[in-house]
Amino acid sequence: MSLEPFSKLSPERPQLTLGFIPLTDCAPLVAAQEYGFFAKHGLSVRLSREPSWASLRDKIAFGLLDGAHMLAAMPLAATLGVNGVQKPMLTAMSLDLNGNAITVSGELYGQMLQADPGGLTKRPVLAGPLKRVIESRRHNGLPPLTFATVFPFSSHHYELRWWMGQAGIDPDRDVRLIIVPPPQMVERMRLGQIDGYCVGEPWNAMAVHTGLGRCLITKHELWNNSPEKVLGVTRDWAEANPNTHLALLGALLEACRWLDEPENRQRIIGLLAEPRYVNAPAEVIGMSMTGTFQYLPGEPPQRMPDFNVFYRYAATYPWRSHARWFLERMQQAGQLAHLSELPDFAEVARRVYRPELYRQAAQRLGVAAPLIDAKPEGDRAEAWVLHEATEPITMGPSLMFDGQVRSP
Amino acid sequence: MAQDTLRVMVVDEIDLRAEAVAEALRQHGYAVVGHALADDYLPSKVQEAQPDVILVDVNAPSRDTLEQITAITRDDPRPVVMFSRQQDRDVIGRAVRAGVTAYVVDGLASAPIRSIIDVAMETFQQFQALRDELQKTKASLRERKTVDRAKGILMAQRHLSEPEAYGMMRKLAMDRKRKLVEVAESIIDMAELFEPKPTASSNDGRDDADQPGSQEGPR
Repeated sequence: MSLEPFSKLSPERPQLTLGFIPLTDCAPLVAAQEYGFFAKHGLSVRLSREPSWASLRDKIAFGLLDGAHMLAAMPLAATLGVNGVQKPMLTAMSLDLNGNAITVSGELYGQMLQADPGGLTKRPVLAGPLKRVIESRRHNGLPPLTFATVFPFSSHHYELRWWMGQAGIDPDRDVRLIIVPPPQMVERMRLGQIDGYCVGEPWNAMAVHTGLGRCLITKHELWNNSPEKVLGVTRDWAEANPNTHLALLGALLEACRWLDEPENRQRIIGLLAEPRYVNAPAEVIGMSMTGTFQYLPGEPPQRMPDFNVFYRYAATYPWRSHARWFLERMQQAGQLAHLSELPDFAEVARRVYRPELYRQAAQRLGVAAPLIDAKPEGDRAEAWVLHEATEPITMGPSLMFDGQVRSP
Repeated sequence: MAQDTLRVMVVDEIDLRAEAVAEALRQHGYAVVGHALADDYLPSKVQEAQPDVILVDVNAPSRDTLEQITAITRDDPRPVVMFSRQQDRDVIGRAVRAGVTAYVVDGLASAPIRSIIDVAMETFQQFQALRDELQKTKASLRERKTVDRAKGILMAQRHLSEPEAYGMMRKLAMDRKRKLVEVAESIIDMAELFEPKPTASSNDGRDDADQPGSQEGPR
């Protein structure tokens, strides 16, 4: 079979509008735009900075946006009709791994330190000290602590629940869980409206940078190399514009690969800092983007090369085992309770996560792609090699902080 | 009538528009029980006002805080859902395109909600029309300024009267099949090239000034 070179692909819709939320991990879209990967694949793209995940979701559902960097759980939730208008969506590509963290206010950190000083010295930091603070507050008749995440159907929400649940905290009863848009997190904490949050970068580094927050645990520590954002489109759009979709996947695959090079990270930081993209100081965005992280104010930054992973470890592959994890988390959080019957998770994962489209795009570019659709999670403490691929791919560790191992 | 009992809350970052929507709703006999700005923390406002329907600007940054009410109902026994019944899909689609979206207490009848959304959409569209008109006026004002400046340059350099300078520009435009303002711009460009002194070019009210995240990709 001879393959058409990608330059010959004629997109049905050469002019696209793609949405993003001001976060460090909108970097693949920005890189594709600013360094010409969209243009190379015959696309003229307008990037639209969206004020909220809900507006991004609705604009995709009703065709005002062609696609967007989306929270990985969003296309699943939209397809199931458990969030917003029921609309089948799909993803053929993940845009990054890891990328977020849990941060608490200096005041709450002080209380945790007092309640259980030993509990904060060993990483990963578990929620035991927080449980002690919650118990003592209840004992003293104080109102529950307030924690924020970015969206009900987000890895942030599920991670915070998971981390709390592991220490015996009931996220529905023992704390107040609210939603706050990412760029507002630090300000809400400054105003004393929230005591802690789980959010993507740069909004953890920003709280530490300003001296306001103390970061407890990163998403990478919760689950090594776990899924974060995806490229989301509606199923109707993908079916009507197969060439455009392939071109888009090709451009973003190249952008993600480009972002794997440390010198390109340096290049993109200044652009991301601009008001039209993330609108945050370059030094704050640069913290995680250069492979470092700072948990506490005044502490020297530590090396953390995998805080943001855009390409290595098959980061761009839409693993159906990731989709299943999100569906199970939705169920545990009670988000599927309104459905008349529980859907078949494997079937939903097959409809929404589309590795076969990914493989098509990868083949056109001549880059390696996995040949299996799901993998075990939580089983690898070290780097390993995936042989079930068009050529062997070096993969990262996949440990979960609670020692859980999942079979595909 | 059932609609008398429907309590509506309006969330909009444009204060004036929120007022207009509220007024129009009142005229249609609905009770407007609250009004919030785009950055307000909505869940507490909602708890205070206890609305049946919340009308929200699609682009309100704090919209996601409402999404929580749809998913986590611990604080409020009345679940609020986005207007999402299958048969209402067209209404929602049109509303989203007009910049309005609605969150509705579950179980309400569609018909009165639809008419509430219609009222809001109409006001949003009127505002959009006004805004477009204003932008057009600004643009034509800018064009007139440019033409006047070019005319002045021609009058000074070629010692022409005003009608002569204007006639020359019109002839140039017709001969080259270009717009008058384009001819004026090239006259100004040429003048600046030969006499490079900093002149304040009119870049007030640029069309893209209020859309910081938008930009055209390379062709």
